[in-house]
Amino acid sequence: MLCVVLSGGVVACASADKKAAGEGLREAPRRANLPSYLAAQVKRGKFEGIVFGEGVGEYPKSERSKLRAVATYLKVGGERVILAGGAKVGSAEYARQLGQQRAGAVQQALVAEGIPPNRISTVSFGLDLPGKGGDRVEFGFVPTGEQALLGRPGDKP
Amino acid sequence: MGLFFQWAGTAALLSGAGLAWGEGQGVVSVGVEAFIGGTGDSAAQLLRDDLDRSGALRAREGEAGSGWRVRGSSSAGRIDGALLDGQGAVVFNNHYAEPDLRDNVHAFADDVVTAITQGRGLAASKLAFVGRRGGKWQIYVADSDGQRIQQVTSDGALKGAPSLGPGGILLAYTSWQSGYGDVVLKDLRDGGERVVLSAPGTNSGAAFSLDGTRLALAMSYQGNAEIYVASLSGSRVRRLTEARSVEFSPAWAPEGDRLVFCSDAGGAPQLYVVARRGGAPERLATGYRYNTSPEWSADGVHIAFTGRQAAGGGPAVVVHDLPSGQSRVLLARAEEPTWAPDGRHLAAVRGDSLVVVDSFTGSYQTIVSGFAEIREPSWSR
Repeated sequence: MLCVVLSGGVVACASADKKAAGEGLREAPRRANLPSYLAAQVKRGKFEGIVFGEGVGEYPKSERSKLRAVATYLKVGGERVILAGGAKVGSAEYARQLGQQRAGAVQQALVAEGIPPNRISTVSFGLDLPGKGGDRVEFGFVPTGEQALLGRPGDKP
Repeated sequence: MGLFFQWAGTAALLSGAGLAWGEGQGVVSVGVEAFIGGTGDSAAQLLRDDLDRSGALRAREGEAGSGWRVRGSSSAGRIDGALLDGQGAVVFNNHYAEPDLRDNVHAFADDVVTAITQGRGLAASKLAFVGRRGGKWQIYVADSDGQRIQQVTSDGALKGAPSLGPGGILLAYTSWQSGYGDVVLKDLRDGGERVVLSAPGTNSGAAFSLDGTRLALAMSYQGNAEIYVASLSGSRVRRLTEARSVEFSPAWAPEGDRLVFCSDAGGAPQLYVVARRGGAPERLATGYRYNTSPEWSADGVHIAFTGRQAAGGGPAVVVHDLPSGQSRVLLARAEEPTWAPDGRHLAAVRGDSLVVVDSFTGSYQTIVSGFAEIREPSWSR
């Protein structure tokens, strides 16, 4: 088995990857460089977050006025928006993926309001959504011109 | 680190389905002779503790009595250890030369357990967990008795979902260092690490297959969260599920041919089993309305999970017996169970502590406390 030492000593085995390909595993996609919701330049708390019912992942239409206010703001300016999802449920893993589903649901609703998908990114913090936390999706706005400067996936500490 | 080790009483919570697990599981007495050498007393005491913690053996001090006996010497932490049967014949005589006394005693204890019971010991295994102190979540790794707790991450980013690979050498966990949930693989021998899965969306809940060649995890790059199997390098993945619901927390069957996972397709999360190569998942009827954090036992017979009778209800560690289809509460007010390699003990979060519970007797002990919060323990296999 041919093994190579990757950065920092983690070993990956070429033969294992070859075997994985033989088993029908496909190439994994990687996220494009995106700004971080927690970066200092990102404006958070400018709009009220979208509140979800307990355990619910679908976009709550009762929150539409909040969403339209965000859509109007984005149409006027050229900012990018980061949707940060959270969930207060009985499992950290469930909270992470339910928060992601909620962020995705709000993303779809914003696209339906006319915001281009390439101006929206999503993240989930699960049980640990910064700010008010809980069953919400919060908005973070990346100023124009700074979008490429904020954080890259895979960056080392 | 302000942590302490304490015994708790018997849980006396073996209730529910009236199962009789552990019946006929006699405890074997093992005489531990005084060790010679400068670190002999420490080694002998640690060995007695390890043998007692196995649940299958009970250490007795000294040479008196017949039956199994261990003898050894310990100098500068190195150990020569022998096991003798009831006739005084040497079953094995091994040399243990790791740098740390504890590693050598744990390895000796596991050899004794295996020689007598034909099963695996837990003494040398490791536990990873997420702990919060000073507002920061970090990954920690400890011995199976809660000693030698090491913080193995240090940056300020949110972290979660640790999983230890075979032998406790590799650690997979989820990090938000990039700003998004990525799976990181860390080599605990030298601390080196790299991001292996960083698809769009949230990549989390990675679980090592028992042979250590695959990860199972939840990824959401194709929309909502689905269960995937990935190569260890993260370069290749395969989706196992396809649903409009949220799928999460996969865990491998010991043979590696199936996985158990959670899905909220029916409203509250339920357990499902799917083949490693995909196909239609089958729901596991557990009798609980809200099921999370499943993990398959090493013998393949049981699945432990966190059970709640309602979304906001109190958690309990529940063990589901696959042959009978019955579930029972093993430990109330506890959650996120993870099996030890011996297939008998589990670690779980209880309040702000980490406990180890014996699934045969229901007795439990607190092994880690002193954190503001503890989450998601993972026991190495």
